[in-house]
Amino acid sequence: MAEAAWCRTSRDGRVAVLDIGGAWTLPHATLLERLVAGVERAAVPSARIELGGLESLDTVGAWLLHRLIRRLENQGGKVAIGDAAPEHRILLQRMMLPPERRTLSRPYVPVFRALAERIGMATVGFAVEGRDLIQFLGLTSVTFARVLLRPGRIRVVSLFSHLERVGLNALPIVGLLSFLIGVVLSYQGADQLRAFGAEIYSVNLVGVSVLREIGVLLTAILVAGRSGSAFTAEIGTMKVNEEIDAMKTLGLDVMEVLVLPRLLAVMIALPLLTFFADLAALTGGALMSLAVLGISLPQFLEQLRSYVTEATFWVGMIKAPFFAGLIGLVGCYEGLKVEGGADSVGRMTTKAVVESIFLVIVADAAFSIMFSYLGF
Amino acid sequence: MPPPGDPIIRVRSLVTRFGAQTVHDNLDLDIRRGEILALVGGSGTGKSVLLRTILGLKQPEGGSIEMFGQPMNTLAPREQLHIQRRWGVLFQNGALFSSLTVAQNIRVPFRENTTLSHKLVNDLIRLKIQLVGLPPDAGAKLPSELSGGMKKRAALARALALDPEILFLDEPTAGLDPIAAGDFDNLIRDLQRSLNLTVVMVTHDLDTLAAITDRIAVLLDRRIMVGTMSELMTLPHPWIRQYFHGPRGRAALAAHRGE
Repeated sequence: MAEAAWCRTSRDGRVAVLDIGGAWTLPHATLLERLVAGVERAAVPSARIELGGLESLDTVGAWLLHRLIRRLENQGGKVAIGDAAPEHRILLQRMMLPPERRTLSRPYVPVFRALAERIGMATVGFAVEGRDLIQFLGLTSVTFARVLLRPGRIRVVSLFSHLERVGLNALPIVGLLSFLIGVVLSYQGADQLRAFGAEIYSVNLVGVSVLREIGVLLTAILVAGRSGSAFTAEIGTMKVNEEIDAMKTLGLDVMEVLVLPRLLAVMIALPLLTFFADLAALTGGALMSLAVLGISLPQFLEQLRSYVTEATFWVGMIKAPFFAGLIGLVGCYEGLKVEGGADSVGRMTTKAVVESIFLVIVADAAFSIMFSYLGF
Repeated sequence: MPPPGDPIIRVRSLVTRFGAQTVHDNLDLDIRRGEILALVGGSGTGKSVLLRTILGLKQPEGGSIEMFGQPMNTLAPREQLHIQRRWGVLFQNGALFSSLTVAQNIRVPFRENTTLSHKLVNDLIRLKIQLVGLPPDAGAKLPSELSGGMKKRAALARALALDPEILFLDEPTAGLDPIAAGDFDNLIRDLQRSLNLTVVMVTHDLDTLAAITDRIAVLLDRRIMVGTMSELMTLPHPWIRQYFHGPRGRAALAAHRGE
C-alpha cells in the first residue's frame, strides 16, 4: 500500500535532501509528526527541502514543516526550500511568523484563596442584595402611594392579564397538589393516632396544619416557582432586548408599567389561591377520613367546627399577602437586575425562585414566633 | 484535489417553505471550488435560510443538495459528519461557547474529531489565533472579554480549526465599524488565497461585495441570479438596479475601482 505521506532523505554532497510528498494534511497528522520527529533525530547539518511531490498541504502540515525547518536552523544547519508549488510556498510563508508562546489557560488561583474569595464575595453579595431589595421595596411603596393618589394611572388591562396568569391559570395545579397533601396528612395522622385510639383527632391535625401553615405555604411556593420566575424571565428578556431602555426614553415609568401590575396581581391572587388550596386540602382530608377511618362527612365537619377556630383560618390567610409581596418584589427586582445576554436571564430566574422561597419560609417562621407571643 | 472552478456545492430545484409561505421555489445554485461567493437579497428573501439549508440545519421541502459530489440528504449520519468536518461556519454573532476561553473554543473541534498530541494542538491553536490576527494573549480570554470584532476573529479561528475546504460566513461584517469591516474583508481574502478556501457568505455590505467577492448570487422572487458584480449591474431587474445603482452601491464600486 502506498503511504499517504512521506519524507525521504537522500544526500547531495554535504546537503541532505528531504523529498516530501503525499498529503500533508490533518487526517495524517500522527504519521506526519512521526516523520518530522525522525528527521529531527537524524540531525542533518544542512538540508534542501523538495516539496514537488506534495499533493496537498494544510496548516497542520505546513506548521510541522515550519517547525522542522526552525529546529534544523536552530541546530546550526542551513535550510533551503527547493521545488514547491506556489500555493504551498505561500502557506509555508504564512507560518514564518512564529506564534508567541503565550499561555492559553486562565491564570491559576490557589484553591484556598479561591475558596476564601468566593465566601467573601458571597457574603458581601448577600448583604448588598438585602440592602438593594429594601431599597426596591421603598421605591415600590412610593410608586404605589403615588398611583393610589391618582388611581387613573393603574394599568388595569395589565393587572387583569397578570391576575389571570398568576391566579386563574394556577387553580388546577394548586387545587390538585393541596388535595393530595390533604389526603397524605389525613392518612399519616390517622396511622399514628390509631395507636391511641384517637383517629378522630386526625381531623384536627389536618384542619389546623392545613389552615395555619400548609395551605398558604404550599401555595406560596407554587406561585414563586410558577409566577415569580415568570416575572423575572419576562422583565429580564425585556431588559436584554433594550425594551426597558426604550420605555425610559419614551417617558414611561418602569415601576408603574411593569412592576406594580405584577405585584398587585400576585398580592390579590395569592390570598384567593390560598383559600382555594385550603378548601381542596380539607376535601382531600375528608375523603381520606371517610375511606380509611369511616368518619362520615357530617362527622368530619362537626369535628372541624368544634376544634378548629376561625382564628386558625385567619392566621393562615393573613400571611398570604405578605408572602405574595415577597414573591412579587423578588421576581421583579431580579428581572430588572438582568444584564448582558440570555444566560443572565436564566441565572436571575433561578436566583429569584430560590430567594423568594427562602424569604417566604423565613417570613413564615417570623409569623409563627409572632403568633406564639400573641397567643394565637 | 479537483481543479478550481469545479462545482463543490450543487443545489438543484430546492424548495423551502415555512407554513404556507414559500421561501425558495426550484432554486438552482452552483458554488465553484476556490471562489468567494456572496449571497445577497432583500430582507425576507431567505438568504440565511438558504445557508442553513445548505448546512443541513434546516430540512428542505424539496430538491437536492450535493456537496463534494455527494448528495447530502441520502447520506448516513456518519458520512454526513465526515462531510461536515470539511467545512467551517462563522455564525453572525460568532456563536462562541460563552463558558469557554477562546483557546478552549478552538480546541473543541480538535478534541471531538482528531487524536493529535496535546502539544501539537496547542501549537495549532496559537497558530490559528495568529492567523486571524488576534493578539497572542487572546487565547486565555473569555468571549465576554472581547470586542465584537475580536469575537468574530475568534469565531473565525474556530471555524478554521480543522482546515476546512469550504468556509460559510453569515454576515461577517455586520456590527463592525467600517475600518474593522475592511480589515475583516482583507483577512478573509488573504486566508482564502493562502488556505485555498471556497467561501460562501451572506452579506449586506456593498463594500465587501465590491472588494473581495468573485461572484454574487442575488435571491430574487424565490429564485437566484448569479454573476460577477459587473454582469449583475447590466441586468434590468428593478431590485438589482436599485441595489447596485443606488448611492451606496455606486460609492462602494467607485471606492473599489479607485484602489
